[in-house]
Amino acid sequence: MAGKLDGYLEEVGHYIAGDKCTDDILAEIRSHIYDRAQEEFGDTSDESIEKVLSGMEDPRDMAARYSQGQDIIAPYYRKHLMLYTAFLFLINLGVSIISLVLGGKGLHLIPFFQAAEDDFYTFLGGLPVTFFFYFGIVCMFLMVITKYRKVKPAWLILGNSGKEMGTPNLAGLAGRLFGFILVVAVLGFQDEIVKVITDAFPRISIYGLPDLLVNAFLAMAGIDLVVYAFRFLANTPVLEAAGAAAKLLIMAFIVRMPMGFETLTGLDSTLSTAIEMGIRAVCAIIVVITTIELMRWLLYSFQERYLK
Amino acid sequence: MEAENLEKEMNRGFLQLVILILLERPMYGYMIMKHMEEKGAAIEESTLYPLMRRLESQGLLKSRWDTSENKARKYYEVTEEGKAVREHLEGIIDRQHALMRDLKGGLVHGREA
Repeated sequence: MAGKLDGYLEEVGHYIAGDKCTDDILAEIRSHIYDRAQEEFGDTSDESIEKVLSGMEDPRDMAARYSQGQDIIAPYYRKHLMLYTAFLFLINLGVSIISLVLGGKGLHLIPFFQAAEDDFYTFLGGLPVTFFFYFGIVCMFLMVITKYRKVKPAWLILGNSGKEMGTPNLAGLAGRLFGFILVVAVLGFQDEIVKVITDAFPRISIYGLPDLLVNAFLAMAGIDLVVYAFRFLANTPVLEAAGAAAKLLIMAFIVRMPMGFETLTGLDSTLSTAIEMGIRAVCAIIVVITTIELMRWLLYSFQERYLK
Repeated sequence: MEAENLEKEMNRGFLQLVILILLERPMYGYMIMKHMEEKGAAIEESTLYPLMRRLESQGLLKSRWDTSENKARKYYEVTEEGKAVREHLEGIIDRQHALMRDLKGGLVHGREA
């Protein structure tokens, strides 16, 4: 009958396997069973042990009690899980978007995915794969922290959901309106401005921007204004993310078009090429900044949706 | 069923305090169970042993195996840290009881007096 006791303990041990105190736990349960048999039935005979065992909890349930409170990922870290995953994923996506907008040869999804620029569906298919890859990485990271409890990721500042969003106000709207009017004024009267500066400084050559860029900057300033105005109706980061995405679409369009500097009067081809390269570099910087903006708002949208 | 869950939830924290009070002197698991049974508050072994192990891992209890008799038994005892936590928890319980009395005293047949 000692076999029954051993069998019971073996089964409990099986379900708590991995705990470094397994032997100690089993020894304590064995001691307890002997105590109960002695106290309740007057001896520790096989029959008494069997009676005690019949009143004991199922081995699996007994083992589960020892695991209670031992989370694989501690509750404190759990709230960071999706956030960190999203953070890594969005950095990755941002790199891909910059590559796409600036007309790179391929779309990269770190760490193992690369699709040709024209194979957009393959790129889309890779998105969930990449997301879950990062999810796994973050899970492992948090599991290790939970197990060894040596790091408290308070230094990871992400997780202050919604604090950066702020509420729209009239001053902010006025600022955007002023920005829009300024762009309209500068771009609308650029010929006059060029003339004034040329008259004042005849030795300096100044040229107006091509219509393509003028319209693009105007549209982007307009998007900023409209998005901010809409935030009075629904103050959500999704609006800002949509605005950033729209600006990226505009940039994607204009960087693929000839800028039109070669048609400007009195400009030799070397100079027009140099200017165009400079303008394209500025466009690339705008794309990078707008992409970071997009990722930031997407991250806030994600926080708002999943972490509240 | 809901009342049962609430009772379990309330007992979980309270039981920790009970163990910290009881283990002022060294006791082994079955001894604690019998003691509690005599007090009319039986504890299951599947609750007691894992709980004591958790308290031990938190540094609130210490244990040693006694093999001086013919049976090996594991004795638990509250640590200095456990005593400090116990005092803190007792304070909380006292405040909760005082609050309960206060709240109940301010009610007459379910209406505020």
